Amino acid sequence: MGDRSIKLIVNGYSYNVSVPAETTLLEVLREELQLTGTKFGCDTGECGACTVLIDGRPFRSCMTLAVEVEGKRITTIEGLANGGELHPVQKKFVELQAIQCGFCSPGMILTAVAFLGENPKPTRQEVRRAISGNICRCTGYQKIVEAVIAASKINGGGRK
Amino acid sequence: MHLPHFEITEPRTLDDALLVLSDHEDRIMIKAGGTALIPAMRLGLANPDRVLNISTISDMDKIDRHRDNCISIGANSSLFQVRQSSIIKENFPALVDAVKSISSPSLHHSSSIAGNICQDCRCIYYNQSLTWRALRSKCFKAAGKTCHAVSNGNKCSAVYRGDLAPVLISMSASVVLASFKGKREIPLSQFFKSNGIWPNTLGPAEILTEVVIPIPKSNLKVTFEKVRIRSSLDYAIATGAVSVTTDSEGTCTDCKIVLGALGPGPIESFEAEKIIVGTIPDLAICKRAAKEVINKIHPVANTESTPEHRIELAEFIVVRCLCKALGIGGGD
Ligand SMILES: Cc1cc2nc3c(=O)[nH]c(=O)nc-3n(C[C@H](O)[C@H](O)[C@H](O)COP(=O)(O)OP(=O)(O)OC[C@H]3O[C@@H](n4cnc5c(N)ncnc54)[C@H](O)[C@@H]3O)c2cc1C
Ligand code: SF4
Ligand code: FES
Ligand code: FES
Repeated sequence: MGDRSIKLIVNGYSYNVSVPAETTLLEVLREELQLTGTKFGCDTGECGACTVLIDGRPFRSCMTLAVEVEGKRITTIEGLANGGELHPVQKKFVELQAIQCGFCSPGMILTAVAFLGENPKPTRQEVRRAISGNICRCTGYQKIVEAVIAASKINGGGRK
Repeated sequence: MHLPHFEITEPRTLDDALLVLSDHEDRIMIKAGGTALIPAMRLGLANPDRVLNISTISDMDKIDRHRDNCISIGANSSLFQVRQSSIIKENFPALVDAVKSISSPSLHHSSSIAGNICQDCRCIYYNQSLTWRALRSKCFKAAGKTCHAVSNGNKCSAVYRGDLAPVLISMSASVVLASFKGKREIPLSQFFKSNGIWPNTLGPAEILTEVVIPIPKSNLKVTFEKVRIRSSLDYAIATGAVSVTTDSEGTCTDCKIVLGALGPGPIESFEAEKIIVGTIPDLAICKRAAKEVINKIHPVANTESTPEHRIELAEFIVVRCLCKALGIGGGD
C-alpha cells in the first residue's frame, strides 16, 4: 500500500498531508509543515524535546505515528500563545530566564502546561517530578521549576 | 533516522484485530502506545511488515470491578489512568507506587499496562543503534551464535525490566489472553518463561485483553521498591515486590517475594517465602529470607550496574519491602 492521506489539526489549522504509515508526527511537523519549534532530540523517547500536546495531553512526537493522530487536536509551541499574547508559562520562562540555549524549552513548556492543567497548584517537588522526563543540558532546572511555580500563580497557567 | 517501512492496520474492535492476527502471512506486531516498540523499531530490533495498532480498539481501557472480588484493568489502560484511578489507589497502592516509578509522568499518557507487561527483555549489548551493533558479531538475541555479556555463554540472559509484572505477580494477578478461538485466563506468573530472547508465552495470534487482580483482604499488605541509576527515565537495575498476609496474632499466613530486572523474567523465591510463613517475622527473619533470595538470582554484566551490586540491591530491596509490609523498623 502507498501513502495515506490524512487530515491533521495543528494549532487550530487543518492540514492535509499524504504519508506512509511509518512517518512520525515529529517528521510531519518539522519537514512537511515547517513547524520547527518542536525539536528533534534523541528520537528514542528519552529527552522530551519533541513533546507536543494531543487533545491537551503530552505525547512524544518522535514515538507517535502521524496516521494515529488524524482528527485529534495537536498543539505545538507555535500555537500556545493566544493571539499576540504569550501563554503564562511562556511569559514566566522568559521573565525568570528559564531558557538558555532554548532547545529543551518547547517540550519543557508544553509538558508544564499539560501538568498545570492536571495539578494547578503544585509544590516544587511535584513540578520537578512532572518535568523529570524532559532533559535540559543548560539551566540546571532550578529556574525552570521557579518559572512553572510562578506560572501556577497566574490565572490560566494550565490553559491549553 | 526514519523508521523502516511497514503497513498498518487499525482495527476498531477486538474481533477485527484477532481476525487480522489469525490470518496474517506477513510479520505482524501489536502496537499499543508504542513507547517500547517504536524505539525498538528505530534501532532495527523489531522489523514488522505490518503493525497492528490496537490502541484504536474502543472499550479496551476500562478499569472496573466487573467480577466477584476482582478488579479488571483493560489492556489499553494507560499508566496515567491506572495511577489516577480511585479503585486502583484504594485497593492497590503498591501498584500505583510501581506505576509512578516507570519512565517519567509525561510518558504515562502514551504507555499502556499490557505494553508494559509484554515488553521485550533488554541488554546493553542489544538495545543499541545499528551502527553500534555492527561493530560486534550477532549475539543470540539477534539470531547469532554468541553472547557478549557472558564469555562462553550458551544462552541469552537479556533482562526483563518491566516494573509492573513483579508487583502484579505478588498480588496474584492473572491475565486474559484472547485469540480467534476464544479466551484463556492464566496466572501472570505463568505468562513468563524466563528466556532472554523473548520473555513471554503469548501465542502469535493472541492479544492480552485484561489484567485481573483479586481485591485484597484487609490483612494483606503489598510493597514495592525499585532502584535505578537516575530517578527518572532509567529502567530498573533491581526491583522487588512483597505481599504478606498476617493473622490477628501477627503470624504470617501467606507471603510472596518477587524480584524484577535481575534475570530474563520476574523471579519468585518460594524458599524465601517459606522462611517467612508460619513465623511472627522480625528483622532477623526478614534478613534471613533476603539472604535466601540471592540463591535464586544470577544477574550477568548486561545492565548499567554490576552483577555484584545488583545482588546487594536485591537483598536490600527484599528486607526493605518485608519490613515496610510488616511494619518492622530497621529495614533501611
Ligand atoms: C524513556 C523511556 C523510559 C522507560 N522506562 C521504563 C521503566 O522504567 N519501566 C518499564 O517497565 N518500562 C519503561 N519503558 C518502556 C515502556 O514505556 C513501558 O513499558 C510502557 O508501559 C509500554 O507500553 P506501550 O503501550 O507503549 O507498549 P508498546 O510499545 O505498544 O508495546 C510493547 C510490547 O508489548 C506488546 N503488546 C502491547 N500491547 C499488547 C497486548 N494487549 N497484547 C499483546 N502484546 C501487546 C507489543 O507487541 C510490544 O512487543 C520506558 C520507555 C521509554 C521510552
Ligand atoms: S545477554 Fe548476551 S545474547 Fe542476550 S542480548 Fe545480551 S549480549 Fe546478546
Ligand atoms: S526526540 Fe522525542 S523524546 Fe527525544
Ligand atoms: S536551555 Fe539548553 S537544553 Fe535546556
